[in-house]
This record gives sequence, C-alpha cells and structure tokens, in this order.
Amino acid sequence: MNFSSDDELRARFEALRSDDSDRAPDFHDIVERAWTLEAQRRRGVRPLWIVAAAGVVLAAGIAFQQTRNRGIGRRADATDSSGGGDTLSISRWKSPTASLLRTSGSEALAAPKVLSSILDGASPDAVQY
Amino acid sequence: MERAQLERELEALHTECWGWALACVGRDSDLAEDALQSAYLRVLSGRARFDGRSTVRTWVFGVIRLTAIEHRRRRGVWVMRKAGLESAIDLADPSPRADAEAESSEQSETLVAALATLSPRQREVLQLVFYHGMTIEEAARVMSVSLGSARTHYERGKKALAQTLAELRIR
Repeated sequence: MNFSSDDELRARFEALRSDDSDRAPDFHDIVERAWTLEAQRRRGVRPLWIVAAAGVVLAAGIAFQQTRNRGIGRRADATDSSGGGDTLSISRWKSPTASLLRTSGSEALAAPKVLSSILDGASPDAVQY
Repeated sequence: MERAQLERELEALHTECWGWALACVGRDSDLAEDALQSAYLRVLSGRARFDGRSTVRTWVFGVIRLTAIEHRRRRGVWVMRKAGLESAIDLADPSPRADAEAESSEQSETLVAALATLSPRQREVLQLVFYHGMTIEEAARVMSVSLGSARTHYERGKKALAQTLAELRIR
C-alpha cells in the first residue's frame, strides 16, 4: 500500500479513533472519582500537617528548654567563680569566717587524707634531719 | 471561566480527550484513565487556568499532555524500583498492550504498532493532526514547540510511519 495519500492515513486513524471511543470511560465517573480522590488527599494531608506542626513545636520547646538550662548553668558557674551571688552550690560553699578558724598548727590536728603520708610535701633535706 | 461551563466543555471533548490521553501514555488504558482524572481535576479545580490565548480544546490537550508525562514518569520510577532499568526503558518507548491489541481491529493494531516505532514527538504530532484533525499550528501549541519544529516532526513522522506500515503489510 502506498501512503502518499494523507487520506489513507486519516482512514487508519479514524478506525483507531472509533475503537478508542468504544472503550472510553464515562465522563461523570472520571470527574466524580477525581473529586473523591482530591477529598481523600486533602483529608490525608491535614493530619500529616498537624503531626508535622506538633513535631516542630516539640522540637522548639526542647531546644528552648536546653538553651535555658545552659544559660542557668553558665550563670551559676560565673557566680561561683566570683565568689558571690545568691546561687552557690552547696558542695562549694564556704563560711565567710572560715579563715578565722584557721590557726597555726591546725594542719597537724587535721585528720590525714586517705592514701597520704605526713612526709608529703617535705623536702629531701628535711627528711634527712 | 465558570466551573460548570468548564465541565460542559470537558464533557463535549471527553471522547477526544480519552484518545489523546491514550496516545500520551503509550496506550495504557489504566494509566490513561489516571492521567485524565488528574487533568480534569486540574482544570475544574482551577489549578490549570485558561488564559484565552488558544481554544479550550488546545488548552485542555496541553494540560492532559503534561499530566500524562508526569504520570508516566511516576510510573516509570515505580517500575524502575520494582523491576530495574530495563522495564523503565520499555515504558519510555511504549508499545501497545496485549489486551488493547486484542480489542482493536486489525487495522488499528497495525497502526498502533507502527506508531510505537516513531519518536514521541512524531507520534504526538501525527496523532493530533490525523486523529484529532488539528492543524500543525494547533498541534505545535499543544506540544509546546515552535511551528517549524512541529512541521519537521510531522514530515519525518509521516514518512517513517508510511514506511513502517508498508513493511508491516509485507510481513
């Protein structure tokens, strides 16, 4: 067959068109399904957004709390090193008059430290005497 | 354009839209239906807007074409994940499905087989001109290519199609 004629080609396409139109789905079915799918998609998207937003709020809360804790810690360290302020830790607290209780020879009266010797800190010359 | 009016226009064009959707997805009926559904939704929901620069038919065909490309790409990715690259290449150059072939008349079958050997652009322009009765200029608008490019695809495609059909007849 010679396909120099467009009409012949057109006839073949016309046959295909006729076959296709027999198999065409119903327009209203397609539109209805499209809207149903859209509604389902929207319903699915909403909870996803809520979960995402809740996640962001939670992460922000945690970050804020950590920053706040770090700030308090830093302030406490600063007041500790300066020796003043209201927020001193109990383990580092010293009485303001503790130095008055220190008398000469008080080291000798103090209980020896665990795993220490009375010779600790003595110079070799002093030990020979 | 009002939604009710758009719906009426779509209904009037529906059979043609179906044929065009089939051509855009390599004649896979399921994929064509999915693509058409998404394209109609875009049109009716206002996500795709008619600017009046062309006819409604040209515009709707353009929307269907782009939607079908997205669907094919998505399906291509899915196939690639499932069965490897080979299946994806098959999908990129679609051939008629077995069930579609059984339903089609012999003449249509031969034409579909011959069209499958053409490049996508050549297939598109010939479908738009011979199946939908568009001018090459209208086809160019649907395909988003220049008139010159559409003409080249048309001439080369027609020549290749005639040759393939002649070869198929000899066999």
